[in-house]
Amino acid sequence: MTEVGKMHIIGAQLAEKLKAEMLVEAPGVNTVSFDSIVACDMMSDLLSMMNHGGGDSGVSALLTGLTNKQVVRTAEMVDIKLIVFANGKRPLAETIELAERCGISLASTEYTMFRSCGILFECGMKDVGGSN
Amino acid sequence: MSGGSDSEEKIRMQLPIRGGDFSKAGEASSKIKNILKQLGVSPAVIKRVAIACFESEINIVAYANKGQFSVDITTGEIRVLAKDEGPGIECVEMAMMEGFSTAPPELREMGFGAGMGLPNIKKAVDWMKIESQVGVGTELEFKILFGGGENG
Repeated sequence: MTEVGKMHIIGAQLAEKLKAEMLVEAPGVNTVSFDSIVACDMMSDLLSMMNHGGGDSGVSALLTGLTNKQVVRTAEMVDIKLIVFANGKRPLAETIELAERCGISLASTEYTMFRSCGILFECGMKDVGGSN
Repeated sequence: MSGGSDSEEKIRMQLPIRGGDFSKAGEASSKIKNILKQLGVSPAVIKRVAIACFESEINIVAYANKGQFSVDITTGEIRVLAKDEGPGIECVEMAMMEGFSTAPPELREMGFGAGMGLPNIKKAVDWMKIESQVGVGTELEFKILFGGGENG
Protein backbone atom coordinates (compact mmCIF):
# COMPACT_ATOMS: atom_id res chain seq x y z
CA MET A 1 0.00 0.00 0.00
CA THR A 2 1.37 3.42 -0.88
CA GLU A 3 1.31 5.91 1.95
CA VAL A 4 -0.15 9.16 0.60
CA GLY A 5 2.06 12.20 1.14
CA LYS A 6 5.01 10.21 2.45
CA MET A 7 8.24 11.74 1.26
CA HIS A 8 11.62 10.06 0.99
CA ILE A 9 14.71 12.03 0.09
CA ILE A 10 18.39 11.25 0.15
CA GLY A 11 20.87 13.26 2.23
CA ALA A 12 22.11 15.46 -0.62
CA GLN A 13 18.53 16.49 -1.52
CA LEU A 14 17.72 17.28 2.09
CA ALA A 15 20.88 19.41 2.37
CA GLU A 16 20.04 21.15 -0.91
CA LYS A 17 16.56 22.13 0.32
CA LEU A 18 18.15 23.81 3.34
CA LYS A 19 21.04 25.25 1.27
CA ALA A 20 23.21 23.41 3.78
CA GLU A 21 26.89 22.73 3.48
CA MET A 22 27.81 19.07 3.99
CA LEU A 23 30.61 18.92 6.57
CA VAL A 24 30.83 15.14 6.97
CA GLU A 25 29.52 12.97 4.19
CA ALA A 26 29.33 9.47 5.61
CA PRO A 27 29.18 6.52 3.23
CA GLY A 28 25.57 5.76 2.40
CA VAL A 29 24.08 9.17 3.18
CA ASN A 30 23.03 9.50 -0.43
CA THR A 31 21.63 6.00 -0.73
CA VAL A 32 19.66 5.91 2.52
CA SER A 33 16.29 7.64 2.22
CA PHE A 34 15.09 9.97 4.95
CA ASP A 35 11.39 10.19 5.70
CA SER A 36 11.18 11.99 9.05
CA ILE A 37 12.72 14.90 10.89
CA VAL A 38 13.28 15.50 14.56
CA ALA A 39 14.10 19.06 15.62
CA CYS A 40 15.35 19.76 19.14
CA ASP A 41 18.19 21.02 21.29
CA MET A 42 17.54 18.73 24.25
CA MET A 43 19.09 15.32 23.80
CA SER A 44 16.81 14.03 26.56
CA ASP A 45 13.86 15.02 24.38
CA LEU A 46 15.43 13.38 21.34
CA LEU A 47 15.82 10.08 23.21
CA SER A 48 12.26 10.36 24.42
CA MET A 49 10.82 11.17 20.98
CA MET A 50 12.70 8.31 19.34
CA ASN A 51 11.54 5.93 22.06
CA HIS A 52 8.12 5.17 20.66
CA GLY A 53 8.03 1.41 20.71
CA GLY A 54 9.96 0.66 17.53
CA GLY A 55 8.49 -1.00 14.51
CA ASP A 56 9.29 1.94 12.25
CA SER A 57 11.44 1.31 9.23
CA GLY A 58 12.13 4.93 8.28
CA VAL A 59 15.30 6.90 8.76
CA SER A 60 15.30 10.24 10.56
CA ALA A 61 17.47 13.32 10.28
CA LEU A 62 18.07 15.66 13.22
CA LEU A 63 17.88 19.45 13.13
CA THR A 64 19.58 21.07 16.11
CA GLY A 65 21.47 24.04 17.43
CA LEU A 66 23.64 21.97 19.76
CA THR A 67 27.15 21.28 18.44
CA ASN A 68 28.92 19.16 21.07
CA LYS A 69 29.88 15.52 20.57
CA GLN A 70 27.03 14.25 22.74
CA VAL A 71 24.72 15.15 19.85
CA VAL A 72 26.51 12.57 17.71
CA ARG A 73 26.53 9.99 20.52
CA THR A 74 22.81 10.44 21.04
CA ALA A 75 22.15 10.26 17.29
CA GLU A 76 24.14 7.03 17.13
CA MET A 77 21.94 5.47 19.82
CA VAL A 78 18.72 6.17 17.93
CA ASP A 79 20.00 5.46 14.40
CA ILE A 80 19.92 9.03 13.12
CA LYS A 81 22.14 9.19 10.04
CA LEU A 82 22.23 12.95 9.33
CA ILE A 83 22.52 15.94 11.68
CA VAL A 84 21.88 19.45 10.35
CA PHE A 85 23.02 22.38 12.48
CA ALA A 86 20.73 25.40 12.12
CA ASN A 87 21.56 29.12 12.38
CA GLY A 88 24.90 28.62 10.61
CA LYS A 89 26.37 26.81 13.60
CA ARG A 90 29.47 24.70 13.07
CA PRO A 91 30.27 21.62 15.12
CA LEU A 92 33.35 21.31 17.31
CA ALA A 93 36.34 19.35 15.96
CA GLU A 94 35.67 16.48 18.40
CA THR A 95 32.06 16.33 17.15
CA ILE A 96 33.26 15.97 13.56
CA GLU A 97 35.76 13.30 14.55
CA LEU A 98 33.13 11.20 16.36
CA ALA A 99 30.65 11.60 13.47
CA GLU A 100 33.26 10.26 11.05
CA ARG A 101 33.88 7.27 13.32
CA CYS A 102 30.17 6.55 13.76
CA GLY A 103 29.27 6.97 10.08
CA ILE A 104 26.93 9.89 10.75
CA SER A 105 26.77 12.80 8.28
CA LEU A 106 26.88 16.43 9.39
CA ALA A 107 25.66 19.56 7.59
CA SER A 108 25.27 23.22 8.48
CA THR A 109 22.57 25.59 7.23
CA GLU A 110 22.34 29.37 7.59
CA TYR A 111 18.57 29.04 7.93
CA THR A 112 17.00 29.28 11.38
CA MET A 113 15.50 26.23 13.03
CA PHE A 114 12.00 27.62 12.34
CA ARG A 115 12.63 28.18 8.65
CA SER A 116 14.40 24.85 8.24
CA CYS A 117 11.47 23.01 9.82
CA GLY A 118 9.03 24.93 7.62
CA ILE A 119 10.86 24.03 4.43
CA LEU A 120 11.09 20.34 5.31
CA PHE A 121 7.45 20.21 6.44
CA GLU A 122 6.37 21.85 3.18
CA CYS A 123 8.22 19.27 1.14
CA GLY A 124 6.37 16.44 2.89
CA MET A 125 8.76 15.23 5.55
CA LYS A 126 6.96 13.81 8.55
CA ASP A 127 7.42 13.91 12.30
CA VAL A 128 9.10 11.00 14.09
CA GLY A 129 6.32 8.64 15.04
CA GLY A 130 4.54 9.21 11.76
CA SER A 131 2.39 12.37 11.74
CA ASN A 132 2.69 15.27 9.30
CA MET B 1 28.73 -16.42 21.59
CA SER B 2 30.75 -18.16 24.28
CA GLY B 3 29.35 -21.37 25.64
CA GLY B 4 28.56 -22.05 29.27
CA SER B 5 27.01 -24.64 31.51
CA ASP B 6 23.54 -23.22 30.84
CA SER B 7 21.48 -24.63 28.01
CA GLU B 8 21.25 -21.14 26.49
CA GLU B 9 24.29 -19.51 24.96
CA LYS B 10 25.42 -16.50 26.93
CA ILE B 11 27.58 -13.42 26.62
CA ARG B 12 28.64 -11.83 29.89
CA MET B 13 30.58 -8.63 30.26
CA GLN B 14 31.45 -5.86 32.67
CA LEU B 15 31.85 -2.36 31.32
CA PRO B 16 33.32 0.26 33.68
CA ILE B 17 31.93 3.82 33.51
CA ARG B 18 33.86 6.82 34.82
CA GLY B 19 31.87 9.48 36.68
CA GLY B 20 32.25 13.05 35.44
CA ASP B 21 33.98 12.13 32.17
CA PHE B 22 31.59 13.30 29.46
CA SER B 23 34.19 12.78 26.72
CA LYS B 24 33.70 9.01 27.12
CA ALA B 25 29.97 9.07 27.92
CA GLY B 26 28.13 6.71 25.62
CA GLU B 27 31.06 4.39 24.84
CA ALA B 28 29.73 1.51 26.94
CA SER B 29 26.26 1.81 25.39
CA SER B 30 27.80 1.99 21.93
CA LYS B 31 29.70 -1.28 22.60
CA ILE B 32 26.51 -3.04 23.68
CA LYS B 33 24.67 -1.71 20.62
CA ASN B 34 27.38 -3.01 18.28
CA ILE B 35 27.39 -6.47 19.89
CA LEU B 36 23.62 -6.78 19.46
CA LYS B 37 23.95 -5.66 15.84
CA GLN B 38 26.54 -8.40 15.23
CA LEU B 39 24.19 -10.93 16.86
CA GLY B 40 21.47 -9.98 14.39
CA VAL B 41 18.99 -8.58 16.94
CA SER B 42 16.24 -6.51 15.26
CA PRO B 43 16.96 -2.76 14.84
CA ALA B 44 13.79 -1.79 16.77
CA VAL B 45 14.91 -3.83 19.80
CA ILE B 46 18.49 -2.56 19.54
CA LYS B 47 17.18 1.01 19.60
CA ARG B 48 15.30 0.31 22.85
CA VAL B 49 18.38 -1.29 24.42
CA ALA B 50 20.57 1.62 23.26
CA ILE B 51 18.18 4.23 24.69
CA ALA B 52 17.94 2.46 28.08
CA CYS B 53 21.72 1.90 28.30
CA PHE B 54 22.60 5.41 27.16
CA GLU B 55 20.22 7.09 29.62
CA SER B 56 21.68 4.92 32.42
CA GLU B 57 25.23 5.69 31.35
CA ILE B 58 24.58 9.44 31.21
CA ASN B 59 23.10 9.27 34.73
CA ILE B 60 26.23 7.53 36.06
CA VAL B 61 28.59 9.96 34.30
CA ALA B 62 26.57 12.98 35.43
CA TYR B 63 25.93 12.08 39.05
CA ALA B 64 28.17 9.25 40.29
CA ASN B 65 31.86 8.90 41.10
CA LYS B 66 32.08 5.65 39.21
CA GLY B 67 29.94 2.81 38.05
CA GLN B 68 29.67 -0.15 35.76
CA PHE B 69 27.35 -2.11 33.51
CA SER B 70 27.10 -5.86 34.12
CA VAL B 71 25.57 -7.24 30.95
CA ASP B 72 24.07 -10.68 30.32
CA ILE B 73 22.93 -11.55 26.81
CA THR B 74 21.18 -14.81 26.00
CA THR B 75 19.47 -15.84 22.79
CA GLY B 76 16.20 -14.38 24.05
CA GLU B 77 17.01 -11.30 26.12
CA ILE B 78 19.48 -8.79 27.47
CA ARG B 79 19.81 -7.93 31.15
CA VAL B 80 21.78 -4.91 32.29
CA LEU B 81 22.71 -4.06 35.87
CA ALA B 82 23.87 -0.44 36.06
CA LYS B 83 25.50 -0.01 39.44
CA ASP B 84 27.16 3.13 40.71
CA GLU B 85 28.90 4.61 43.71
CA GLY B 86 27.50 8.07 44.15
CA PRO B 87 25.03 10.30 45.94
CA GLY B 88 22.05 8.00 45.39
CA ILE B 89 18.50 9.16 44.71
CA GLU B 90 16.58 10.73 47.57
CA CYS B 91 13.14 9.92 46.25
CA VAL B 92 12.94 7.30 43.49
CA GLU B 93 9.23 7.98 43.03
CA MET B 94 9.93 11.65 42.20
CA ALA B 95 12.82 10.70 39.90
CA MET B 96 10.47 8.46 37.94
CA MET B 97 8.22 11.45 37.14
CA GLU B 98 8.67 13.04 33.72
CA GLY B 99 10.24 16.47 34.01
CA PHE B 100 11.60 16.05 37.55
CA SER B 101 15.30 16.87 37.49
CA THR B 102 18.13 17.79 39.83
CA ALA B 103 20.57 18.26 36.95
CA PRO B 104 23.33 20.87 37.23
CA PRO B 105 23.49 23.62 34.54
CA GLU B 106 26.53 22.05 32.79
CA LEU B 107 24.54 18.90 32.13
CA ARG B 108 21.69 20.92 30.64
CA GLU B 109 24.16 22.76 28.39
CA MET B 110 25.04 19.39 26.89
CA GLY B 111 21.38 18.75 26.14
CA PHE B 112 20.62 16.45 29.06
CA GLY B 113 18.92 16.83 32.42
CA ALA B 114 15.34 17.37 31.24
CA GLY B 115 14.07 14.90 33.80
CA MET B 116 13.27 12.28 31.18
CA GLY B 117 16.00 9.74 31.94
CA LEU B 118 14.33 7.21 34.24
CA PRO B 119 10.84 7.57 32.67
CA ASN B 120 12.46 7.03 29.28
CA ILE B 121 14.25 3.90 30.48
CA LYS B 122 10.98 2.55 31.88
CA LYS B 123 9.30 3.14 28.53
CA ALA B 124 12.05 1.30 26.63
CA VAL B 125 12.40 -1.84 28.75
CA ASP B 126 10.26 -4.89 29.51
CA TRP B 127 11.19 -4.99 33.19
CA MET B 128 13.15 -2.74 35.54
CA LYS B 129 14.08 -2.49 39.20
CA ILE B 130 15.75 0.41 40.94
CA GLU B 131 17.27 0.52 44.40
CA SER B 132 19.08 3.50 45.76
CA GLN B 133 20.72 4.46 49.02
CA VAL B 134 21.51 8.11 49.67
CA GLY B 135 25.26 8.62 50.05
CA VAL B 136 26.07 5.11 48.80
CA GLY B 137 24.81 4.66 45.25
CA THR B 138 22.18 3.35 42.91
CA GLU B 139 21.48 -0.03 41.32
CA LEU B 140 19.29 -0.03 38.25
CA GLU B 141 18.54 -3.35 36.60
CA PHE B 142 16.53 -3.84 33.45
CA LYS B 143 15.64 -6.50 30.93
CA ILE B 144 14.62 -6.32 27.28
CA LEU B 145 13.26 -9.33 25.41
CA PHE B 146 14.45 -9.85 21.85
CA GLY B 147 11.13 -11.27 20.80
CA GLY B 148 9.43 -7.88 20.99
CA GLY B 149 8.16 -7.90 24.61
CA GLU B 150 5.35 -5.74 25.85
CA ASN B 151 7.07 -2.48 24.86
CA GLY B 152 8.28 -3.77 21.51
